[in-house]
Amino acid sequence: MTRYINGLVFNSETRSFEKSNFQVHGQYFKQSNTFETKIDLDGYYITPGFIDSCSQIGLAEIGIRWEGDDSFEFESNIQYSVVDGIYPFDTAFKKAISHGVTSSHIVPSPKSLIGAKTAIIHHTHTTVDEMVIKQGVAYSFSIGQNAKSTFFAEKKKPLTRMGIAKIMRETLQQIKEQEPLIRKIVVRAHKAVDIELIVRLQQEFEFDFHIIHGTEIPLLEDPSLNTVIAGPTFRHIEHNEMMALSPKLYKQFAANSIPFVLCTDHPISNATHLALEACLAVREGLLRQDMVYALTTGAATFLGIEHITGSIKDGLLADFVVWNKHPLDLDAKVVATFIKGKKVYAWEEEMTK
Amino acid sequence: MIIYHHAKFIAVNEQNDIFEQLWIEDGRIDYVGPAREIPDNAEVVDLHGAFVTPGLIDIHAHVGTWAEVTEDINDANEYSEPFTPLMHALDSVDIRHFSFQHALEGGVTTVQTGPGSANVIGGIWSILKTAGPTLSSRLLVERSGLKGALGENPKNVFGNQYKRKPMTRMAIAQLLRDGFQRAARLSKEEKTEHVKHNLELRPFIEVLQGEMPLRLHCHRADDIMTAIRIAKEFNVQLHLEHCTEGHMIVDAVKASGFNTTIGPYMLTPSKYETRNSTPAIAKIFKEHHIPFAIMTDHPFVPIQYLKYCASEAIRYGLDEETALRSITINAAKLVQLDHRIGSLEEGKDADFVVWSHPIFETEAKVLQTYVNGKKHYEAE
Repeated sequence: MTRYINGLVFNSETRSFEKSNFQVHGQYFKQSNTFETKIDLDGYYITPGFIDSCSQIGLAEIGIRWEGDDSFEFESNIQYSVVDGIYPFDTAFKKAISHGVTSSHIVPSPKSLIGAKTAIIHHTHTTVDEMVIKQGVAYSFSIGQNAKSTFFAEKKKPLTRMGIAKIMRETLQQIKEQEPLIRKIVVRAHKAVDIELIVRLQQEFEFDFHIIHGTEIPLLEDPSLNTVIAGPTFRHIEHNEMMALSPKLYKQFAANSIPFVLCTDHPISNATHLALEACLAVREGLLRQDMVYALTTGAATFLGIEHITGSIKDGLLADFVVWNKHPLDLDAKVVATFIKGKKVYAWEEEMTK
Repeated sequence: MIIYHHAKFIAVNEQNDIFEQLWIEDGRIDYVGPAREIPDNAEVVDLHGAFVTPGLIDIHAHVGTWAEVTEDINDANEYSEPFTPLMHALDSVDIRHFSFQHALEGGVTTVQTGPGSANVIGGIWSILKTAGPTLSSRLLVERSGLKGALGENPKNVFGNQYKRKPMTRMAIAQLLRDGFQRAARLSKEEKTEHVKHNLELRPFIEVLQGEMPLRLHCHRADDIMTAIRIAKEFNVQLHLEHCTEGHMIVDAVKASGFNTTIGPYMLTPSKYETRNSTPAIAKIFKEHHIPFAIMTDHPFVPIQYLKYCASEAIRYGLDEETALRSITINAAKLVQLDHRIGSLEEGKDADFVVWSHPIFETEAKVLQTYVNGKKHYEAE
């Protein structure tokens, strides 16, 4: 039992940093009258661990090429699960936790039309079974340019958006019959025409559809969309569908009351740049407090794990980050990162204080 | 005469002055300093409490030459041969490319751009302003360096994909030496002829005569050492591009005496040779007094995010002053253009950026970008 006192702790209810105390018992936040150690966090900012809402961390290993890439399978199958492709020793995990990102929603590559069952994992460096927070979170799809170009190269179906729509409908029907527990469908899409397909599918099928990226959403009139997995905007423009890509997107979402969470789509942008995405949204005029919420409790709520992690609240897993400054200052550094109550990263210079 | 006031003008001069007024005449800085009485004939621009820095400089980018959206018409790498010294940035830069607009949106007013890293000898780089009606009007230095590449990229393109030489680092080094050896053997008359007729060895002669540096792409420690070894053999000026593992052999880099352009460490390592990439390199080089500029390598990190590359170095321990200098005056010094760009000082080109907040604050947005005294970007 450890008692952390005097930190500026992010309160997810008020969305503000408040001087307060919290306790950790084993893997959980838990209030108690007895405690063994007391740690003074005076002057530090404390947030729940950041959650990357779409990432390929562990699935597409950094620093090597095809040998470490398990993010895409040419022949699709709805039984595929990302859990079978995650390598816990991808060096990206250590970098992610050193930047306060403690868990990720793993979604396979944009090249796959039909992706796989997604999962949410902790960035703790052991076995994938210990890392998993929740399996079968959603089914992933990717439509538009990426899916088309993959199949064009091999001269196979689908070569057109019509072909993509047909395959999506067939697959959604299969999922409905074979995987009744999965309700979420996440779809990578940039172009307005592809987003309109999702709006149609939303009316045809009883799933919760969520768009990943959504670059051209502002072109739609009155888009009533479920939470968008937005970003990354800190990346180069790779193809025509992304020409409008800019952090201005975040402001446009806010202006149109479209709920969104943030992602890096690591390794497209680096998992270490998750806070930077929020900083760019702040630059465009969004409130710091709302962006910290979107990176933590907001993401957990969207992913359906708010009862497990995402807030500093009794009964939840003790995933939290100690920062030397407001986490959305561009030069803020992580002093220490905790996953399930255990310190998994410490900035050496600062911890000797 | 145009006078800008009601702003903090961060001069980035020797004394790190912050001034109150900036006077521009004919695209040059006529006066920058404490507030003075404003002459009757002057046009006065109120900047409403903004923060002004010199225009940012990125001395390693592929602005205007990398096709970006349609890879099949990329004009940055002449893949047909590993040895293409006569390729020149000026023949591939498209001044209407959107990357120039993005540069202005991010406050970048000068870029060094040109061939990429597929070839052992890629070609000649140039230094350009990011705005102006014609390519020649943007030109600062037409032949700013002979660009070559060591390591994985030429190995991958030629050895791995084309199944031809160079497949190894040995052959890469040999191809590089070959140009210098052949150029060094020429008589004085032959050298003059070569330069006059723009023959294949011309760039090597120019490098041997100290007219421009050799710019070598090197990530891994062994490639950095090969670059230094070859430059010392032929007694030529070398600029280490990327220098990704430089922090692991920092004493050797320091002892070489060569300058570096570091980055793009904001990128997720996508290949083995960049797996040790870290923004901490900036702080380590600073501590060892190794001269460096910070780059984007656009499009790999988009040019509009140059400022964020400097911010990330601050997160990893670099002081703010050096961070700002590494994308302004220090970058200018490394390309010998500090008499014209890189700081707000009298007589220099009027390249400057108006920010809503101090440059490294999260909220800081580029409000306006000026090149040669003319406003080329304004935020909506």
